[in-house]
Amino acid sequence: MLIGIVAVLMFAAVSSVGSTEEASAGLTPVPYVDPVFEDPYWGAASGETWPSTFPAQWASRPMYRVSVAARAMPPLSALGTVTLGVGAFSLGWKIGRVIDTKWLHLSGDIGVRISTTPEFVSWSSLDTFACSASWTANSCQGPGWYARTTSYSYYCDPYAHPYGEYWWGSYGCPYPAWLYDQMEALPGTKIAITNTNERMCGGWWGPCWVKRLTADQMVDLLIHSPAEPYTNQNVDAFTTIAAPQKTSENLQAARDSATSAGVQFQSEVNWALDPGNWDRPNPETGEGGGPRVEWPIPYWYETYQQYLSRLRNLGWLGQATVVDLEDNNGESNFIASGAPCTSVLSGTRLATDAPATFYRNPVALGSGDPSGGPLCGDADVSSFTSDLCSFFDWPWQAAMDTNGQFYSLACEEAWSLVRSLDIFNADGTVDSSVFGRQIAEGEQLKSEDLKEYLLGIDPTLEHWEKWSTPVYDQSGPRPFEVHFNWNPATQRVEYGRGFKVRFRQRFDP
Amino acid sequence: MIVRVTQLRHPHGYEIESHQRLRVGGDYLVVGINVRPRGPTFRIVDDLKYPFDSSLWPLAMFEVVSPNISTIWRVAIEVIQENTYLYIGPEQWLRPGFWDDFLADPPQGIEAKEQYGRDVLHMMAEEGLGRPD
Repeated sequence: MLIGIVAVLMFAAVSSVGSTEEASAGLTPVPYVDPVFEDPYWGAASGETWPSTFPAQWASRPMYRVSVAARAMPPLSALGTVTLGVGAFSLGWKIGRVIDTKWLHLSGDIGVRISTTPEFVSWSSLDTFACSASWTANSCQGPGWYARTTSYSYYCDPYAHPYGEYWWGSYGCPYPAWLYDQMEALPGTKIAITNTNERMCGGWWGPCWVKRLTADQMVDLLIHSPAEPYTNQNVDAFTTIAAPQKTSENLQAARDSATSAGVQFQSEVNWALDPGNWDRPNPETGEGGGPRVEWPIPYWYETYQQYLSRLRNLGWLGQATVVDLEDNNGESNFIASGAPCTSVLSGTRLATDAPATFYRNPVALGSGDPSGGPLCGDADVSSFTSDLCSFFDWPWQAAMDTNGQFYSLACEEAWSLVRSLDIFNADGTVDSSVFGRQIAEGEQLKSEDLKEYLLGIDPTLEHWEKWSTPVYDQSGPRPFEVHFNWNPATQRVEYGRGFKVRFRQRFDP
Repeated sequence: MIVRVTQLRHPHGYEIESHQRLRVGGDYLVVGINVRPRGPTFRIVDDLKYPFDSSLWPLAMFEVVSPNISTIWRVAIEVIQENTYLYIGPEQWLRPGFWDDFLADPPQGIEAKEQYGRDVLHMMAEEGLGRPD
């Protein structure tokens, strides 16, 4: 009953202060822009027109080695449909496990490039078999041309376009021709690529040029092209592909091959396509998934608008619902118009379009007790506000009063370390390493406030235990531990009350 | 009371080889005993020590080296949600809300922390142990 009353009061409090909605239309994630992407080569390679002569000057270019911040979606549609099969690593393609599992719905051995073929853009002439320059189309027909790891070949598919193309003075391949680059290296394994952009036709009776993609170029296509909305990407077409033989021998062989070839791919791409920043789509429906952002801690010295701007720059596109706090339930730890708490726990990785509620300080803080407010006080703080760090032996508020920026950063540093350990999951499950020590049993906690909170989640008090992580030693004299309430019955941590960094002793700037 | 660690167990029950706060063969001061339906636990002063860090561990991990009962220990019995709990420890620690105070962020709970420190020192002295570094 009491919980119900509190809930009603809470609702009333929220209702009384009103709320505003802010749309995020027109905002897009900040795409990664690499200087290489602006390179003239890339402009030509991705353009609509193709030179009619062999682009020898391109062939000498070194392959692009890039790293990319994971915030923009690799443009899978640039590749059309990519299929990986059993033992993909042996095919000479640098396809990482992250790509497999995150976007292609494939589960397979880690793919690494083991080919020693030159790494530059090259072009293959198909004039001897395909482009007999009959604009009536079928001349470029030729299914059955397969590329192998050591010998590439291609075919143009005239049926890919509703009509052939006639150029004055020259007939070319049906235009646009589709390139099917099928590689077959091992029985039952292949990679197929379709790419509507890869086409080039020569003059009358001339050769038909098609672009050949090396493994590195394939990866570059994934990395260097502009970001695309996830929903536009075909990630579910091959979910039924047979599972590969996932053996330790195969994995080791892949790693050994990569090592011997000096391939940096795995770390490169695994970093570039940080799985922690992406949600995998539903493997059955292909829905959902996409990039995620790590929800940052609000700074005490920034306004809601500044905080929101920072979130947008991080790629968060979700709808922001703002609850304006009244002066008696604002947070004086934060400046006027600041955003002391949100509905999202800082450090959470959430979808970029996920909505969030922001609790905004009034434009002028009143003289009431802000820390006891019903919203941002004890009841509904769900982000790492400043009071979610504490000292064992010194009031945190005293620290903030002394040097708020320093201690805010110290607090954030501690949480950053915790997040980097990846021991607390968003769903409340934890890594077994979080259990440093049990501090108290649930039934020993007598605070009505806390009991009410915990019992509202699980009504059996004995199901709650107070724990701390091991002590983490940061650089400098700032060892800390994280306190949390653990429910052994559900095997979950409760991230609300009592989830905090506890510095073991005072430290000063 | 002093106990010696005979095995280390993770909270999930499986045996572990090492822990930041305990080591197999190490002797530790018991500062309280909790008897609960889910199993009894010792509250011991562990290796981290600052500031007299204590933690709860299943009795099954230990053997008793010194069975002395501290002179400041008392016994409290509580019935909570139809379960009966028996706590043994310094008298002040048995009062309802002591651990809430102890765990509270300063400036709250200063008295509980100071009481805790005094009691731990007292129990150490009773066992002939010096103040930890």
